[in-house]
Amino acid sequence: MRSSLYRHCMLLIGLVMPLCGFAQDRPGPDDLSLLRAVNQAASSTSFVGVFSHQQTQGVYTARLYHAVAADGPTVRLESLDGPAREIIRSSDGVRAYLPDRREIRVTPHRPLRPDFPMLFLGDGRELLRHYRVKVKGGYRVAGLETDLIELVPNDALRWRVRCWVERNRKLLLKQQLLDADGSIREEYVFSEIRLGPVSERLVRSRFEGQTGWTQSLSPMRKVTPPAASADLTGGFVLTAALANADGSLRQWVLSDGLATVSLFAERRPPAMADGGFSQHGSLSMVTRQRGDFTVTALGEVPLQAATALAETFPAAWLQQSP
Amino acid sequence: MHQDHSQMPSEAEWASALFDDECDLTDEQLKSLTRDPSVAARYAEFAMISDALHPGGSQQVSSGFQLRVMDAIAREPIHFLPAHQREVRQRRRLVSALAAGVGAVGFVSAAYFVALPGLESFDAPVAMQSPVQNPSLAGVQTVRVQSPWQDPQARKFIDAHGPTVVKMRLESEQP
Repeated sequence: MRSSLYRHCMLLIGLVMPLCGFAQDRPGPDDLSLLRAVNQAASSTSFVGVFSHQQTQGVYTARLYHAVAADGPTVRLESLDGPAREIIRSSDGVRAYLPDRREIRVTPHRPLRPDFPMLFLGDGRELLRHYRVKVKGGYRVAGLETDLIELVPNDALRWRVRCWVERNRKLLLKQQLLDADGSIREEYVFSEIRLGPVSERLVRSRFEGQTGWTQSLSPMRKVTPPAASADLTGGFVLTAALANADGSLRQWVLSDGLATVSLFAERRPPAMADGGFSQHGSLSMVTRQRGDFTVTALGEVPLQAATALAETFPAAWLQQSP
Repeated sequence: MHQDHSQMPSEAEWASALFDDECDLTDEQLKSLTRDPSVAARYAEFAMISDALHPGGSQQVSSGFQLRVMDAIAREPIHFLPAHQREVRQRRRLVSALAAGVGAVGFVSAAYFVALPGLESFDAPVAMQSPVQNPSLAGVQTVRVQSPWQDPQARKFIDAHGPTVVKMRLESEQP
């Protein structure tokens, strides 16, 4: 009798344990819904907040005005440290106001990557191919109760990401990128935030309408991406292709659904090539000479990923005219 | 440290030996080793720990080893910047030994100790950049480790890469 009971218990454990593991490892609809809710909150919530960013020297603080209208959110980012700077971001592109130079720098296309508090671009499915989702209770951030969402990478080619989201709306309030040792490589965090309607005038630059300003266009323009697809290292996929006016500098924007890497290529004789690698906070940069091209991989990924992408980026894409 | 193929050292041991200028390698072996991303990453960790313990960014480099490295650089731009400051060497060895982790626990503890307080120390440059571009190397005495943010070409790339707040920071924080 005891033996039979023991066998049944073991059988039950044997059946249940794999199911538990399966449930944890396999991204479920709840994970996808949660991640989409975080992005939805970032695009549909109006707020004014002060946040800090730390990746390299010191902490940088900015005020964010985020107003949602029928055609999407418009954002005004105002620097609180150093020289006065303003950036207006909308569906039309990005306008950076540099008052000390009386210059407006215009990027005439949508941002190529998510900006805090947006977590990712796309529908989230790509992200779940490379990260597992863990959710637990978080601490208060900017006076608001949070849940902590951890995105744990499946391999060593990406950072672990911790996201503190406001408990009800799921708005992202704090984000950290961590390495395998648990050291923080980059952090965004709101120190204060007021949720609620934001006047339209607050997302217009205070320098708008002033005379004597010059306007300059970003040298990088979107171009037609390569027709042929390619399997890129780490499951990264191409999300945009850009080039400057004469095609001497090209940029391919790659994403794993969360992390972004830019591949830059310049035609340079090998003798003139610079090489090397560097890392600062979450940002890795690796340069390799590939035939007549100097290829630089730059992104918020570990050095291994940047190195692998710089070395294995498809040669056919390099050869193709922009 | 001699290269023994029968019992290959780990990347942590290689990085530790490089960091302490204890490698007895040919230039070809040195180049091959410095192209290994795992060794590079571990070396960067040692540099970060060392820089956190010895702020200032500049490190005196032994001229003999540096000349060898410079010679290698002339033919291969990927390399390491060895640290060799006598008065701090013992402390650096201690850190390297911890990080080489003859116990992983030792390294993790060191990493936490250095990296977490106030988030200030992940600020420490862990860059290894071609000093060919660095005029301070002309005297073959001092190598200043730079971050990508201090390199004009890298800043151009970072500006194109984003995100928006980083573009804004680049405008505000000129090197």
